[in-house]
Amino acid sequence: MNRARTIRVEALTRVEGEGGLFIRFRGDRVDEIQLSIYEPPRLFESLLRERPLEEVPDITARICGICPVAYQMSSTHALEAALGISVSPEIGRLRRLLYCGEWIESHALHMFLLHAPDFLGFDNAWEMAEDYPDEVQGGLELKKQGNRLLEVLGGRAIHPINVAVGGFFRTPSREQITALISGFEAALKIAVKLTRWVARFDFPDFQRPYEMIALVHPDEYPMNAGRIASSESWSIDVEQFADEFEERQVPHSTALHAVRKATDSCYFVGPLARLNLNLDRLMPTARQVADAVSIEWPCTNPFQSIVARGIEIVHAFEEALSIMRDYQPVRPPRHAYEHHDGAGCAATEAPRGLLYHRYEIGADGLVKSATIIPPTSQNQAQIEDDLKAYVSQIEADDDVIASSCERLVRSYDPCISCSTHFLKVKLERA
Amino acid sequence: MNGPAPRPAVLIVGIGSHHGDDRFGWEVVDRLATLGPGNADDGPTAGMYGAMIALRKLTSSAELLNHLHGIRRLVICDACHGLSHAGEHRLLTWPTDRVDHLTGSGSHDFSLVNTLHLADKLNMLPLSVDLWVAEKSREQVLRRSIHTSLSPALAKAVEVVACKIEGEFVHA
Repeated sequence: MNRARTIRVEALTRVEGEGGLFIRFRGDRVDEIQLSIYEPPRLFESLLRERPLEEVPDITARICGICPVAYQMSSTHALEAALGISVSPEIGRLRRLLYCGEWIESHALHMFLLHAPDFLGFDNAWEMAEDYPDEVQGGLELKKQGNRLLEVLGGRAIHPINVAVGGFFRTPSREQITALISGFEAALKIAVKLTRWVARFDFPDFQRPYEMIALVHPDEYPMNAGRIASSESWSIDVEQFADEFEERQVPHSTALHAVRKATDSCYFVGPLARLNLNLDRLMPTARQVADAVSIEWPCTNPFQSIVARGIEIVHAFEEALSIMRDYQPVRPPRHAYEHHDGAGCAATEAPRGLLYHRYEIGADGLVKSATIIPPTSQNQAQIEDDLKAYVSQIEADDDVIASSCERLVRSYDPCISCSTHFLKVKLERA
Repeated sequence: MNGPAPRPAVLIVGIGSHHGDDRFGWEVVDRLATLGPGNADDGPTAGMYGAMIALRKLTSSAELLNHLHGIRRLVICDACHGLSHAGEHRLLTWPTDRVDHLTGSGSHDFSLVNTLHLADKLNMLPLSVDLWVAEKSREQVLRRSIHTSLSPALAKAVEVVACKIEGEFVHA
């Protein structure tokens, strides 16, 4: 007789938000896996209805304290599409600069305070800091520089307040931006060194046949623009997102699961997907690091996402420096526009992956409807699929299985607060 | 010629948000700012009776790690759970007093206590760290409501704590 056995992780640590993991075995076979997200729905889409469109960037930024810029970028671009605004290349570059700051601080937090302890046998960052003080200090320095950029350009490090539909409320002086350069130059060197360090970690041998999805752009590493592309060699305009992808409710989660409509299958978004699809658009030093690490691209080992994050930090410092060195304040800082009804969508690359927004607005400038599809809800079904494959290849006691599963989930850097929010693990055997 | 701005010797930090009793740390800092020149968002506030005192309001405890360089005395004000009743406040000293039983949320599970552990391990903390904590109103926690103002119990705690800090640094 096949006995049922359940493993539960009640509280997955070192992720953003609150959720749980439930695994049920029947005999040695994995019967069911649920990434259960039980935080109450946050209802941002409803909250936005009938609000002036100018409030949307700051309201959606409140969805996340780690990646508020991503919400500001996707919302402003979607609203600008609805209003028929094209921002100037100068504003476009400044938005990329802001996004660089967010990628740096978000990736550095995850890599050095949350994820690296998993590979070195520590329970947390402060235990790791005792044996690896230079690496943790280095990681904190990267994060600090990212935060400084957000403060200067965004007005403050968390929930920046300077992003407006049409541009920025104000742009910093050349002196303010120039003052950041020396810190960024030093941090770039630290980022290269630390990325090489994490690339030498001992990674579990776990390759997956992913369909990876990310923006691609002919001229730049994707942040705010481009087509949505797949590792299966197809691509679509962002306007076709709803034709290709669909969010579905599942009973065990307050966050929706996204799937590809045509194949009814899950897909993978995030830094690894971006890198696999855009390797040739990396800045030169970032490309050198990608070539130097002993990883074959495209990489399909989710645990090696930590290396992809490091390479993206290098890219972000390098690109930020190139923008800062040529920087001149933008005049005027934003485009004027008239309200009219319309609809528009945009997808940008949040630190954790593709973030899609769509808005309908009225002639009175009020939001009629909003759709927000964050990367973590797009990755949820893929995480469950990965866990099923991963658990099947682990022969260990329940505690080891539970902690191994937590590590796999952490490699996605899930932001449950964004999808709606956290994580706990339960294993059940019968 | 202007030289680099002098580094503050004392950093007083309020950690919190705009919401209800979570405002506690910010309110203490705002109250202190009214007692000296400058305001809490201006960084180092010089001249509080000769000492170089910086007042800062932070949203996330992990941000604290960006502001510790050169600090000789650190005072942190934050709302917490774990004391007996709403408005109860205590002065704890790191690392001698037990603080692990105090709970408070932190982004990505990186709470104030985690931040202090990490800063301690990296020798980033000054010799003296005072932690003023006050218990949040249970009603606000249970309702998870988005109050914009403090509960009366916490408002009272703000006054007492600000007064005590002021007494130590301003009237010393």
